[in-house]
Amino acid sequence: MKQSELAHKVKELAFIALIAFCAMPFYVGYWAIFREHDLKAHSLNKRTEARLARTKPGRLLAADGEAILDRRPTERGTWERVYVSPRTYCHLTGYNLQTGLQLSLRSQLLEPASRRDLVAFLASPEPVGDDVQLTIVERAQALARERLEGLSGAVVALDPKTGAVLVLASSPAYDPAAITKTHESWELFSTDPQSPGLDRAVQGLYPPGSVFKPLTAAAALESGAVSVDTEYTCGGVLKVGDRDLRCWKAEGHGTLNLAGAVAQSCNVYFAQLGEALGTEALSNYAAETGLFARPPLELPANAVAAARLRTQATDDLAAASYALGQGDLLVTPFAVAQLAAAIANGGELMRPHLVKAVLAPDGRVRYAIQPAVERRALRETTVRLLAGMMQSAVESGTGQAAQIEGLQVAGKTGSAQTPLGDAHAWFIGFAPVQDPRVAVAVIVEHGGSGGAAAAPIARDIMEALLRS
Amino acid sequence: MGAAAVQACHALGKPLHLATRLFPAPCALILATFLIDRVSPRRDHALLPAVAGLVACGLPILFRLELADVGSPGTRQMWWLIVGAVALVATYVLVRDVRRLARYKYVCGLGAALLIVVTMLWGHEVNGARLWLGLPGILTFQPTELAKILVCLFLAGYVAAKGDMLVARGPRFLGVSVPEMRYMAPLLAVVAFSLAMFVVQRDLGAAVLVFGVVIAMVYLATGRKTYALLGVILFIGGGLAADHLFPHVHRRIGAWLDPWADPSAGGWQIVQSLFCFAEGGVTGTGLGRGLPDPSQLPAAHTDLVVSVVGEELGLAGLVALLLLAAMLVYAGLSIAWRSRDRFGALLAAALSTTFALQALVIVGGATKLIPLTGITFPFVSYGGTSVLANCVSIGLLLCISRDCNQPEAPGRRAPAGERRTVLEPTGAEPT
Repeated sequence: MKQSELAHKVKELAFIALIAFCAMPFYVGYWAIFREHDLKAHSLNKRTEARLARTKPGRLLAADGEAILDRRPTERGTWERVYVSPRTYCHLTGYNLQTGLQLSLRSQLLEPASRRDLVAFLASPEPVGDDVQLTIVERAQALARERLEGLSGAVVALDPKTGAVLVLASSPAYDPAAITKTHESWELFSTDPQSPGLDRAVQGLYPPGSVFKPLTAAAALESGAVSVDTEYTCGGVLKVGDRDLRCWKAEGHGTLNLAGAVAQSCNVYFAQLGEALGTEALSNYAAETGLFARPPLELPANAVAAARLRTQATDDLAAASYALGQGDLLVTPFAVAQLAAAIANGGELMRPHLVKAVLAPDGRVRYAIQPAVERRALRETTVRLLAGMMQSAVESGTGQAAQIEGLQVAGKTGSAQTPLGDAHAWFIGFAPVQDPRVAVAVIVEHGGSGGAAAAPIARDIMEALLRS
Repeated sequence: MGAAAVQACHALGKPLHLATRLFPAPCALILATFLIDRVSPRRDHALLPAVAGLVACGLPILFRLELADVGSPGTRQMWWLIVGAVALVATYVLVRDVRRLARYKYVCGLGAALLIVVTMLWGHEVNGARLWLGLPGILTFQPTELAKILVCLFLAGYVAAKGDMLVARGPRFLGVSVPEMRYMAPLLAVVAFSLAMFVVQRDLGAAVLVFGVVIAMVYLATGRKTYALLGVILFIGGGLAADHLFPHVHRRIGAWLDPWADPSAGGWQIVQSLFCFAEGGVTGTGLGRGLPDPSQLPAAHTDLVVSVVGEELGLAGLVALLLLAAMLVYAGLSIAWRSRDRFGALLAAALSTTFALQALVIVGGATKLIPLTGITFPFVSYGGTSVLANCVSIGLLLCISRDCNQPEAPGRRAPAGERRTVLEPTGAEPT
């Protein structure tokens, strides 16, 4: 064989070698990029744990930038979580990396920007997570916590125009750092009959009682079953099937139209509406509004519940109970807050969100959440009527305790019957009526009358939010 | 490299002055380059920069492992690189004419066989492979590393001399014309030896290396792709037979096929290596921020140094490493195809092929492409004999580029080795 032929063969060999060297990165890339997540999640992979301990975690901030969840270095060179006002924010922060926003915002808080921002990664001297700014208003949240102290219940406040969650409080609360300290404290926490771990605002399922009546009214108006002027007479008691259904006012409200029935929260009027509509039509209407679906909040999916709208019984008694927000119907405080927000926003439900923005460690905004319309929940004409009725409920009806000096407030009280004790006290509302900036829902478990137990709390929360 | 060492010190919380430990090694390499340039400026100029690049990548990684208390591979590698630089210059200066080495091909072949047999008989085991000679813990020596150079010398010499016989038509076997047995026998002996190394010494890495070089040599000599294909089939067949016959081979292959079946025992190393690549992603965790503890990544400083690179420097770092290795291989092979001497060309091709195979086999092994084998990434993995042998290989490649390349355009200064002939009154061009 000639030398030139040999040279040619060597060049072929070089070609093969270069192809092999060029192909190899693609195969390595398969593991480094496409299999990254399942390999990192593997139970034998100690690297994930080590990385998390070393990463300076991002903070959770309130809307004004104050830290809710902070961090501090430990002596071992790792980082430790610091819960600022632990009992105020416990249901938001969760108590470890597997719960609350610490779980659902994990990649923002703990993933060093490497994958997302190469320049920041190359420049940063240590792995640092991003800060997450929430929509929660610190002062109002602290006030809600304070007002719920010693009670069981929840407070939800939304900005009806943006869907921002301004207050999300649940009681009883717990101290995330304290419960995980010892085995005993954890036992005590997890077996507490009051279930402090339950985030009542988004997970608690309650009969809505009379706060459901605006929805019944909307269903009746939109189906054409009643008009604003349709009148029924309340004699204090209504015979449904073989049972007597009592109005809360024993002597009866007399002859009422729809506005009067909402303002006075007349059970007899709404029971008759329910009978006319039937459970099927009511639950279908409620489902179609989308107000009672699982809200797309940034909390872990299993920590947010959807309402239960379907019922088994469909007879007249069931229909009458349903119209009053009783029976098998169960809702979350967040869902009724969305009802108030939708009425406040002309029937349009904005997409609810807890996160305002994600901030780089240097404070630069990586991205901000833009308000988005979730869906049209109620017709605008219906909403205008409902808002007026709710305004008169506060001005002259059951919700007078929610009045705020110098502001027009609309609202609806509720006292949901429960077989286990006193009724749950409810209040939903929004203010100011002309240009609503806050919608609120309050529940006090076994608080009795909504007008007495829930409306004053809602009043204070709305005032704190509007006067700031 | 200095910046990388300082960064490693910083990330691991070690005093910065430790970073200065590494500097003698690059100084030795620069000095070696300078000396070789003095001796003869007309030689290949791509090889040494590629080596320097690999050293600059590898040494900080080993140094970083040293800071994480994985023995002291950085400092030791640094001393070995100095020894290697001396060996490189010595090879370059002492081998007056590389073509003369062809005469000693059988001596080289027997020498390689002897080294391997001695290791088989008297070597001591580390991690289940019997590869080391010498006093354990004081000074150990891995004869197979040097044997691979001798094998290259033998193969190049033999194929250069008898290559044409391999092309001559012989008896047909399975529809393929096979060369006569007496010409094939020495090559088959080398293959048999490599398989024996695999089974007896449990050194799959060296076996793959030798086998790959044999196939490359046969292909270069005969130009027949069928031979190369036949060789690959033969090797896979041998592997399958060994899988059935020997339990330790079976275990190794099982761990390769499904490391997840028993990730805490047989598959541990490969599973951890994959975790490294996943952790590193594209940009890596940054030097000093990985987890190369011996408990988490066995053999992090030798075989699986590529996994440490994959974790801390990411896919980007590994691509850089592979590019440098490809540069080294390309430079070596370009010496081969520019060579006007048959033996020189074949030797350069053989040495370059060993570099290519080492890099590809260990990266392939660490990523579960092929079974994981104990093999070093040239100039990056820790290994005294490996560094020494690789430096000698580089020295030989430089000799080939000096002695066998086509003469360059007139007017250029002739290399020192040839200056005498050029000054002859006849002015004949030396070939």
